[in-house]
Amino acid sequence: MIVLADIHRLFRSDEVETTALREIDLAIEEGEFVAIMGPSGCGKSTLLNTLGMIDKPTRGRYLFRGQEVTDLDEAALARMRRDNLGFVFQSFNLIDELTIAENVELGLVYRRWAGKDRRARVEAALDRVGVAHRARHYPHQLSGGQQQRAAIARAIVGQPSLILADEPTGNLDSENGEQVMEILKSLNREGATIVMVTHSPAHADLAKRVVSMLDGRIVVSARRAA
Amino acid sequence: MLGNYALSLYRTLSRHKLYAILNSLALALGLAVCLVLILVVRFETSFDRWIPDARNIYRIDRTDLVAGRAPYTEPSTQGVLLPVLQTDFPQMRASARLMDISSVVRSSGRQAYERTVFADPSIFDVFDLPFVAGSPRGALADLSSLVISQEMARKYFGTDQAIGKELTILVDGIPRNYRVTGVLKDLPPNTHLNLGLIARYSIDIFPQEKELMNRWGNDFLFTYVRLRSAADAAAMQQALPAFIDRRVTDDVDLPRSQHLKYRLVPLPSIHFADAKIQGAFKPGADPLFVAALGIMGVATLLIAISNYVSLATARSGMRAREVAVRKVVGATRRALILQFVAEAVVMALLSGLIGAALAEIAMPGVRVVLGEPVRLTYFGPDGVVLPLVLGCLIVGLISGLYPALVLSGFRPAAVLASARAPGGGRAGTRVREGLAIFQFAVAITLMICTSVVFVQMDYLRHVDVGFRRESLLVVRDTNTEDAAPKMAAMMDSLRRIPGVVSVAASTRRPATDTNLSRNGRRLDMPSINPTLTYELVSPGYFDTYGVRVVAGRPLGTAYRLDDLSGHKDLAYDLQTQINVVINEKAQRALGYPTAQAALSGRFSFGRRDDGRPMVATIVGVARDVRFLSPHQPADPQVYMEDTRLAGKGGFDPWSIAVRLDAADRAAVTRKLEQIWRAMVPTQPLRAESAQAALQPYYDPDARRGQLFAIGALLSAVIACLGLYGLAAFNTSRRFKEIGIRKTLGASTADVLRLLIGEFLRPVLWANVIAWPVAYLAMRWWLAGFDQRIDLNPAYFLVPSLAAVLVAVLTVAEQAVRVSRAEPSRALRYE
Repeated sequence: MIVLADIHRLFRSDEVETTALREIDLAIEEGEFVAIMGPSGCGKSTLLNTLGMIDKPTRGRYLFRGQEVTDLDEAALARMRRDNLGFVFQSFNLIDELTIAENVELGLVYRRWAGKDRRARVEAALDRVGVAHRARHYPHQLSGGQQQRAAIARAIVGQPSLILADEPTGNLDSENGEQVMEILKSLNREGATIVMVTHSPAHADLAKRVVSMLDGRIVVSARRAA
Repeated sequence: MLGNYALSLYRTLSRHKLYAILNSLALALGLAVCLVLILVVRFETSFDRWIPDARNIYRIDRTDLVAGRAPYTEPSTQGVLLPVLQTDFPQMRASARLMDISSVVRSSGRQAYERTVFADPSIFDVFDLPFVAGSPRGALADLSSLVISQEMARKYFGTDQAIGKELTILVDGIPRNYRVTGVLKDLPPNTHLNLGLIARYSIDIFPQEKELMNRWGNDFLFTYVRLRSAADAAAMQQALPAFIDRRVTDDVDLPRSQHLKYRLVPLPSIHFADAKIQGAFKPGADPLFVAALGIMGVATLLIAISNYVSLATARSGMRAREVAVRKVVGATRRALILQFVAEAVVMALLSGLIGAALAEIAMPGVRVVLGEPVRLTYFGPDGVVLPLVLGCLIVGLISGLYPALVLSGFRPAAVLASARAPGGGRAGTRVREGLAIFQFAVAITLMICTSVVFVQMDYLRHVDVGFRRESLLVVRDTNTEDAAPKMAAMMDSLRRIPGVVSVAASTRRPATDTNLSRNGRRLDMPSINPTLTYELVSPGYFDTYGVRVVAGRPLGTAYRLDDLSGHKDLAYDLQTQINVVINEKAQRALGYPTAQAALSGRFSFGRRDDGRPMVATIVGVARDVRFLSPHQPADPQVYMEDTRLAGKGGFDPWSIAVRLDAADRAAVTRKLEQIWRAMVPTQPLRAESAQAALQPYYDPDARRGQLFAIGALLSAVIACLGLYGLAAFNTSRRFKEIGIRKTLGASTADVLRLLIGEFLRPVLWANVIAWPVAYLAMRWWLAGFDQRIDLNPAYFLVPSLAAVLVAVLTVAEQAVRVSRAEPSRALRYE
């Protein structure tokens, strides 16, 4: 599904040059659940952002379902994200001025779905994650766990083929964290491809493959025994 | 999608009320000011354009070019001009002459002065004006025909339907009966014409002008022509110099086309042309002032727009996460640009609504300040709704585009990875600083101009105008057939009123020009022969008017040769000697280096009525007297005394001046009215103080000062609103930084200096732009005054310091609050 070949990512400012990713080669199959681990600053989030097409590599090739992504313009990338990807962030990143339902339907708005169709899909997604009763509330009125579940609903409402989660349990207590991981697992069981950045070995164990990074490189990519 | 944008905007504004209020208020103020000033500009530029075929109608203005005097332009021409033009230019479609005088109108036992126009019957062929009763055809068929306006009809007859009704008009003291043959629809305010009463012009009505009808050395009629095309007008204009050389037979020096010029002034331009000339129907408007108003309106709107841009980009970081998330879920940059531009357009439309309300509230005050009946109409051909909506759309587009480009340009990865909201970077800060500099530069420029205008106006109110204008009453129209014979007795009676110090008569008065002039030629240096105006005065003139004689003495009754009429008893002489007083301008025109040097100087000065040449001897030099606009220099003038003035068989005075002491002026005026009514019952009294008579010359500049003051205040308010918003945003962003600084030992004063200093920088830089712009503008404006102040650095320093103080006060509250916060709070904040 995904092929990264010799990906490099350099960050340049006036005085400083930082190499966040170097010589990244990675292939991810449909339906895989991949956990990416490593110390702070090793490039995990940069790798996730590259996979999520919200950051462009400095060098290398990225093929998504056989299509070369690296040369696409911004509008094409936006369409790719809209039609294929779902994101879950550590700090939820719900828009404060919109209700939960309005946050979840945002992707469908950009797909220009009719209101009735959007509502039905949003209801189903919120139901799936167990926060349908909070649809009309604003993010600040929900607990952290509920907000993250709402963010997952936003990520899955468009039925994406790839879900990217950047430390989805990082700001949650253990109980809520477990609930979130349970949702991700069940999504994977249903066929969703998931790539998750995590610091938690316990959560990484839930994935089928763990990719370890250090200093911008993949040092280990190991499939877990079934 | 639009619904989603609208929702997002509504929620954003509700959540950040301060920002919403600041931005919409500033934009609304800017729109209101721009709307009002554009309305004023539109009004001023619309004069007479509503008259059918306006672009083919012209008034002929006349300019006299005389050695030693500035070119003198008047809106009136000779009576003989039009008949000759009609012969030489048959291509004229229509033409007419008008005379505008003040007459006593009587009806049903009451009388009042009204402006009365005497016109050729073809006036309605030139001006196609609407009638509500009667018809233009034959409206002035005979000498008793009278066309009146609806206003006059209602005033005298209580109804528009006044056909057949009668009025009596005193023309040169002779009562004439008129019958109303037509009622004109009231003219709109945007016209230079004043047509309340229109009667037919004829030499039979003004027999004293019969002689003038064959001569070219006079001007007392407005001449209007209606042509067929602009090409005809251009051809006629080009042919006029040759016409002058061919047809002007007398009273103009040779070559005639070098000393007399005619100009075809297009009807829509007359209102502006009349700003610089005397004697028009109505005072005109200075086109440069009108242009300045338009510029001020646009500048204020630009300040408001730059405010919006500045605040929106400063706050862009607040919406960075939203932008990043929208991009993550699939929004293209184009969609985001559309969203933010749409938000700006909606804000602009809302602000437009508030602005229109503010403009409506301000209109009565605007009318008072401008002295013009400007109106705000919403619908119809002059309606503002459509232009306002279009204007708001454009304003929204301009204001929203840059912030939209900034916001939509945020990279999701960078934003989501960062704990801190982006502030637009160094480029964004530079743009905001540039916008703040622009706003304050405009505000400070206006403030400097305002202070200079006010100081100049104050200076003019108190400057020596050559005579003492306080406590001086001036009675006019004393040379009519009814009044003139009574003036000697009138003056004696006035002298006996308690509170009256002295009384004098003359052939001039404040707020009129003199057109009495002659050539003077120095006897010792014949090459010096300037044109000099002259004024005939009665004994006591210099004391009554308070004209100061700087060298020699004033004219008086103790010296026989001081009195023009004293020569009656002299034996026939080849020359008539007359003592005169000249003004300083005449002293220089005659080539005398000092006032003292002019004393005993002699020059020939025309001829007496009996043909004897006159030789004037200078016995005194007086200060230049200004009876007109402060923009107009005094003419070189000669004073001659005549004890016959207002005496038996004497020269009819055009006015009588009454010097009062500190007594109750109202009581003196009442007594004057009684005396007048008893002596001249057929004519209402017209008297006013010299201050009041001169007021119309000072009013336009005073109004300019007021307008600039209002413009300066509003642009400063808008700039400060923006500064307040920026300060609020900036201080909240730096909360953590300030906590760190204080932990490291910074005092509250150190922090205050840091925060306030940051906002003072654009204000200080703004002065670098404002000072030279204001200096050049004010130097140019002051050059138009004959008496003016010098540009003092204080006029620049005080407004600049005021701007700095206002800026400091604007940001101080927030800076103080943040600088006093406990460091632990700030560090815990993140």
